[in-house]
Amino acid sequence: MKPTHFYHQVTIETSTDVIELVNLSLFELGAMGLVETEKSVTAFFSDAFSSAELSTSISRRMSELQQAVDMPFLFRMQIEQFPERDWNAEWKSAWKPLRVGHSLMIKPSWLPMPKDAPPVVIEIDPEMAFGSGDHSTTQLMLQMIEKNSKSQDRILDIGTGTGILSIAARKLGCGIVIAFDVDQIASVTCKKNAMMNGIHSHFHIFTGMISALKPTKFDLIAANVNRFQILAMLPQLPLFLKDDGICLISGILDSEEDQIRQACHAYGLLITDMQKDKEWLAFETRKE
Amino acid sequence: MAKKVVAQVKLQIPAAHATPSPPVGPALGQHGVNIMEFCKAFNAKTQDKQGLIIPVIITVYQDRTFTFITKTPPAAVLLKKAAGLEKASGEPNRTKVGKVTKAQVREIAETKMPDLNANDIDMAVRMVEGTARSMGIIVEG
Repeated sequence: MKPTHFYHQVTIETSTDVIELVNLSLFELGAMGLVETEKSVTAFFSDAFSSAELSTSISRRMSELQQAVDMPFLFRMQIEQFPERDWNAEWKSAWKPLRVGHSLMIKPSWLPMPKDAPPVVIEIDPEMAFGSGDHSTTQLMLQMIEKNSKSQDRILDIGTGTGILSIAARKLGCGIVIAFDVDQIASVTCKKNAMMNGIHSHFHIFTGMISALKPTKFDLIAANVNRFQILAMLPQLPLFLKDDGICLISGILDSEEDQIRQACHAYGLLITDMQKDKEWLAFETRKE
Repeated sequence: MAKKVVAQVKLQIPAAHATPSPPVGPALGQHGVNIMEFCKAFNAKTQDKQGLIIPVIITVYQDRTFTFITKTPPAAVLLKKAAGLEKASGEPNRTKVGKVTKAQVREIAETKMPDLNANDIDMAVRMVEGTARSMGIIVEG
């Protein structure tokens, strides 16, 4: 097969009434795929075509379409060329190891271990579950786990995503971890990441909600979800927390601070620390 | 986990044939999304729809993770498949290139219902019939 050295990028502005037929025509003319925006469609063609051929064949097809639908429609076309690139390699090169707190580092699995790596390195590949380490709430929670976790603590990770918080807790010396997420992709990803980080023992993961948990008490609860889920779960969180335990809550926007403060107070959780990064907040709470 | 959407990318690509080439590579790469992971997941999800064009909406979150949903293939693509056509007519008013039955149109309309802007199945059927006429496909029966 002839290697592709460049691509044609054909951007067409047209009416939404005919967009489906325009798209079909582009595929029939050999488009590899399309990107749709509100105002235009962009099709990509290999360099098996010349610009002139493409321009002629697309223009001809569009005028046929004008006759077919029996009405004039907007049609503006722009053709550009760009060379083939290794988009995957470019994407990978954009990731760097990330230092969090005093003793944590997050890095994707494809990067070598840095020489100056801190004691705890968490390997997470950014995929379909939330929690690559890149987000403010993840970083705030990691710092709070680093500050509050003790050796052999029992941890509950609510809305685990990639499992990054649980993995950090286990690598910091915590004991049993129970992690769950309503999203099945997240729990599968969490299992995979626990294996990749070599801490899958004493690490229990399930897909579901807090209502599926058996009555048991934890030293540390980490709930990095969102306002709605926090408000829905707050009545139950103290039931799973040891009397001297700590419950960490994040996924809260600064505009939601008052509402979460009031709800914590209503359900007997005292806020003992709050950290902020950009518009995101994380609360450290204890039983009142 | 806390999620904040930073972008939504709408693509149409052949089922089970997503690759890091355009449009996937540049469209997702600019948002920092794991291109290979998307390709693997999309291809696995659409492997039973080989030969069809699949619209897909990818939602990108602040931490560069993503989710995606696939839509039903465009009605025009389903009509071509039902009529066994390689290509729609260039002159649909004069040159008819294929036929589909009313039952086939209804089946396509039912498939498309979740994604169509139609109030009921009869309206969806009329929309699909209109697309068929624009492609030079006769609806029989």
